[in-house]
Amino acid sequence: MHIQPAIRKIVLIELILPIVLLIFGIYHGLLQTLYRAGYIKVASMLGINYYQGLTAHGVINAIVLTTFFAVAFGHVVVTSCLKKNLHVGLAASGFVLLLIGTLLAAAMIFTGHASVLYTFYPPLKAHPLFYVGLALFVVGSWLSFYSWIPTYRLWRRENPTRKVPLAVIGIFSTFIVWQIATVPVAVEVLFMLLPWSLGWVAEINIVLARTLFWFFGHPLVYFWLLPTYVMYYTMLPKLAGGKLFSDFAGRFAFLLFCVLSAPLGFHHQFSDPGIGVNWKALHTVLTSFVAIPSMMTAFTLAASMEHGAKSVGGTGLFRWWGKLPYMDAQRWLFPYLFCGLVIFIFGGVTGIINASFSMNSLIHNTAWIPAHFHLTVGGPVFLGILGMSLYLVTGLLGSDIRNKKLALWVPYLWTLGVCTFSTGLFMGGLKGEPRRTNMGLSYVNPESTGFRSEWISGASIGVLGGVIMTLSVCLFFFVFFRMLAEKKDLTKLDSFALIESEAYHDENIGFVRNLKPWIVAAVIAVLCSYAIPLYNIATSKDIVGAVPFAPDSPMAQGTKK
Amino acid sequence: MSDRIHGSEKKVISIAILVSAAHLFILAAAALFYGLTVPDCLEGVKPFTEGSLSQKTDRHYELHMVARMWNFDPAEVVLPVGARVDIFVSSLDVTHGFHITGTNLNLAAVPGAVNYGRVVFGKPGVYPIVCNEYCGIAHHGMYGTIRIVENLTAGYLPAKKDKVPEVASNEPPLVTQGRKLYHEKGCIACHSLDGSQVVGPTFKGIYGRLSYFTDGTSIKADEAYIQESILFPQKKIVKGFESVLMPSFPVTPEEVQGLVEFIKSVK
Repeated sequence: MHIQPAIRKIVLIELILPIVLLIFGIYHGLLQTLYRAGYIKVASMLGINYYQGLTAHGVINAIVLTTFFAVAFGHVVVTSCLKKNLHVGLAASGFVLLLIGTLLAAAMIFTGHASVLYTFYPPLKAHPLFYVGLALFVVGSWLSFYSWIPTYRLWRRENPTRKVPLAVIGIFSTFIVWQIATVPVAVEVLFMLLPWSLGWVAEINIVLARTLFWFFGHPLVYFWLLPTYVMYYTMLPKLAGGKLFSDFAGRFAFLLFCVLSAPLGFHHQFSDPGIGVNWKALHTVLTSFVAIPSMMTAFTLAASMEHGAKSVGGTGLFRWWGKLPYMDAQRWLFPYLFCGLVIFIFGGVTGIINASFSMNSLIHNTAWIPAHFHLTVGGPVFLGILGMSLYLVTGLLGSDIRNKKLALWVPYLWTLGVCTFSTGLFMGGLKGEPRRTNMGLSYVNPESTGFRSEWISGASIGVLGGVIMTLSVCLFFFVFFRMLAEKKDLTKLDSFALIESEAYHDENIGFVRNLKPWIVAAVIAVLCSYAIPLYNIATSKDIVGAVPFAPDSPMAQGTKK
Repeated sequence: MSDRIHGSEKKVISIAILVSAAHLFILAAAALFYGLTVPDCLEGVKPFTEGSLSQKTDRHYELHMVARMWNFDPAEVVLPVGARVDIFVSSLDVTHGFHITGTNLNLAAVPGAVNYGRVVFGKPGVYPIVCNEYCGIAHHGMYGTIRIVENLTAGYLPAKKDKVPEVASNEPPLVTQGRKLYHEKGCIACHSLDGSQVVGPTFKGIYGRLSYFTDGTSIKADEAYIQESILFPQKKIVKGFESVLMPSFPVTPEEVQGLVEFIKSVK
């Protein structure tokens, strides 16, 4: 594999560090299911408060792990697919900022100064250093991305007639989505939350802060998802023994995501005041366009797997499904991707319900929501990250996986666990059970005046799922850390390569050749859907500014007499 | 290398567009013909600080609901079957959720803005209200109730938990000052006056009562104990309230005196 020694080191740390942090992220995931079902009826366990642990669970699993992975995976994809060097200065400074940001945010969370959950909605206020950490983290991800741009341009100049490899288009789309998404959240953190948390400004407009957050929050979920899409389009077909059914479909899907991921954040704010119903309706319509890349992907991947299965003797309309390498230890990566796809069917369907305007009010902020996103970010995204981290770290270290059979079982066990977990939470959510709530202290506690017996069954099924999920990840940790301890042979690095599928239909379609027009379209779409509502919210006479509150006191801060 | 998009891919794209269009059509029809919609921007409605219920016509009510750390005002609403209620929701501190479980009313209570929704209660029963947005360490204890009763002539709010009791004309000035502070400093959010348990122990009858602590000791609450609990709330923690720790509030010695006198007066 073509990789500079410095980049190799950065990638290895960026992959291993979040997996170490994940130990806590998973621990508190399991603990939450126990709190929620009333097996634990306390506010804190081992010195970590429920809400403090929930903040760490969200930040570690959904921000730190996903972003570090996307950056590291991108470094490998760009350098190895284009066979060119990256800008080491940018990649290294990006890495340092990501690291400092993570350490600052983690320090604030674990010392109890930032129990504001990973959405950090004001006017709940965290320590200013928490916001500084977030800002550094985001800038670090930008610099990492910028380290690929000179490489990409050089390759384009040298290869004016060749198509850019699909994986590179995919990872660039990922970071174009991220670049667009992180501008509004940077504005929220730097110009609103930070000066307000330092006491330089007394009040901020909460509706505006929430809108800027969700302007970021929805494209964020596509940023999580797209690296896994890169694996689906460029690796899954080959792992299945076949070719990618259509190269065009992959390109078109990635470029559509660039345009369609940002201009629709209001579907997270259907229940919010201060935003016009027509704008909410517009965002509903734009959200539904995501059906195009999604269904195209579902078809193309199924067709690619069919090609693989039929080239090893699979037949019939459905019987070929039996010919896929489900239990082939040499292709242990296949089930990580395949199981993710299966889980994602349910994640997608429930996502449609969330985004469907008035239907949202039935499940808004109920346990249904975490049930849904554990089938997306906790399904295909998480399994993709686990599988690819194991694959890359093994290859880059020149190590070996001793327990490939065990590695194979991780995704199946995870699928069983996460589907059980989500079933329980879907049940509770439909009966009104709230998300993000230490229910053991009230709703599932028979001694409380708020006792709701009808929520116990769902929460208990959630515990069963949580236990299975934890077992699955423990299995993964065993395989992963054992691999780290194996004897390394660096000469293996030369023969190590990313899996790259060939295309079955390798179309040459003009409108998916260049990134530029799609970036312009994305910016225009964002302006059309956000410029006017943001202006209205920022200048509304009906919205009053809000002062900060600490999560542990009903007394406003900064109003001491 | 072909210059054309494969026919199957074209078909999939067409199917995706058709299915989405049908889906959007159904949502639009539900909004236009059945009024199933989402909260809109309210113009000219300023945030309010007190909860209230008013009857507009026979079955038509207007409810002003205030969310605060960590209770709803009013915490309990009683209405007749068939009541059509226009609900306005605001928050005094942080962002809360307001979900009347069993109905489609699920609103964000955002400080500095007013939210609105309408519910028709067709069936008698208890409709629990749940705060479904994280709002601080006692978020799990933030709930309320709407009771729908048959054969009721008019809806009402049974003894609002934070209702300011009538001030007796001969009340000592220190007690009046303490009562004011009780509202201003936010004691009201956790300590009720009517015996109901909100987040912390109720103030009703606390003076002279035997309190049991987590360290196994107990004490008959006197002035010194009440004073200590205000200034150093973590020193003695009443059994059953280990989960929610009361923060220290900045108060002057005169203010403490007023609060102690007021708490003594709540019998």
